[in-house]
Amino acid sequence: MNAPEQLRPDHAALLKDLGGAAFLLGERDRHWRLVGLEWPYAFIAVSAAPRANAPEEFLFRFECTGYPRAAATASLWDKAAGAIPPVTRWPNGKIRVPSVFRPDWNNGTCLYLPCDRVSIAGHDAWHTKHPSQCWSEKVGIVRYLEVLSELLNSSDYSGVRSA
Amino acid sequence: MKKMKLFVTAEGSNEDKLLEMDPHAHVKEILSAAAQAGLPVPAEGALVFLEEGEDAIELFEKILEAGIKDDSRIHISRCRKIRVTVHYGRHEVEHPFPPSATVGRVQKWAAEKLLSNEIDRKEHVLEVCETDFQPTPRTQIGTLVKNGKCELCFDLVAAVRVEG
Repeated sequence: MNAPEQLRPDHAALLKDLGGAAFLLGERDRHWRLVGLEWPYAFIAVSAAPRANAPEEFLFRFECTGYPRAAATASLWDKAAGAIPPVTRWPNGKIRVPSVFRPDWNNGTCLYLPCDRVSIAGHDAWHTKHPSQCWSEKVGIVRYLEVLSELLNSSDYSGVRSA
Repeated sequence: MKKMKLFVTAEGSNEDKLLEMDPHAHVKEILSAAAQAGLPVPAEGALVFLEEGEDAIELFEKILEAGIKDDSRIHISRCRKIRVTVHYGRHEVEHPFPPSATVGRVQKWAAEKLLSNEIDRKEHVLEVCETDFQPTPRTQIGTLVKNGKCELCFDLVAAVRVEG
């Protein structure tokens, strides 16, 4: 008989957090829901406040290599197309939301947030300016989800760009 | 009967634990299960609160009969109420909240008291006084108390955009 396949430590740590109380509590409260997991990617939909012609949730693809010591990096995702959705379907807002969902930042492959592994590089000042939005090894992917959930339910969020 | 899943937090700890409890067990048994799971349950005077509850639940009542349901969120604390003070500029408001109240509930209350514009109210967050720590809206305030002291101080500050 073959030995069970050994998971990489980062994969195992992500699975543990996706089954942990903090993540499941967010699912219970319909702040987010796990849509799928294809290591190293986790597909998670985050609920948004109701706005005209906008979806109830946005799907994100989190790349989790090195989790949780290394932060995840995430982008909006269209699962059917297997690609980042067109910019017209991105969340929009007055000030805070458009500063995060930036098509001009790494071609939209990551979000302009302190908790994002790619975006934090070269932004040392964010550690002191936005400590509550920085990645935490202890909190893990829930930190990133809480930041997104807050943004998409803020009064700054106005719907999608095409609306 | 099927076991109940409970989301449990305790005084002064930011850890959430998922516990499985027999619905016919007494509420008091949540304390020992939480301690076993590694939460810092006070050795004496621990009280159990439901997330929306104003008052502590009777410890010798059965879980099923105490209004606790599958997936309920429970908080353990020695504080019956936490005296919360919120500062905004030169203004200050104060109110006693149960330890199971969320930061989101306190933020909403404080913003209504201190800000006249509705849009402004949603674009302000609570920051723990003399720190740069902004707890998330779903954080239960009892998890923020230090050394069993039943009081908390926040500043109401504008949510700022990420730039630079």
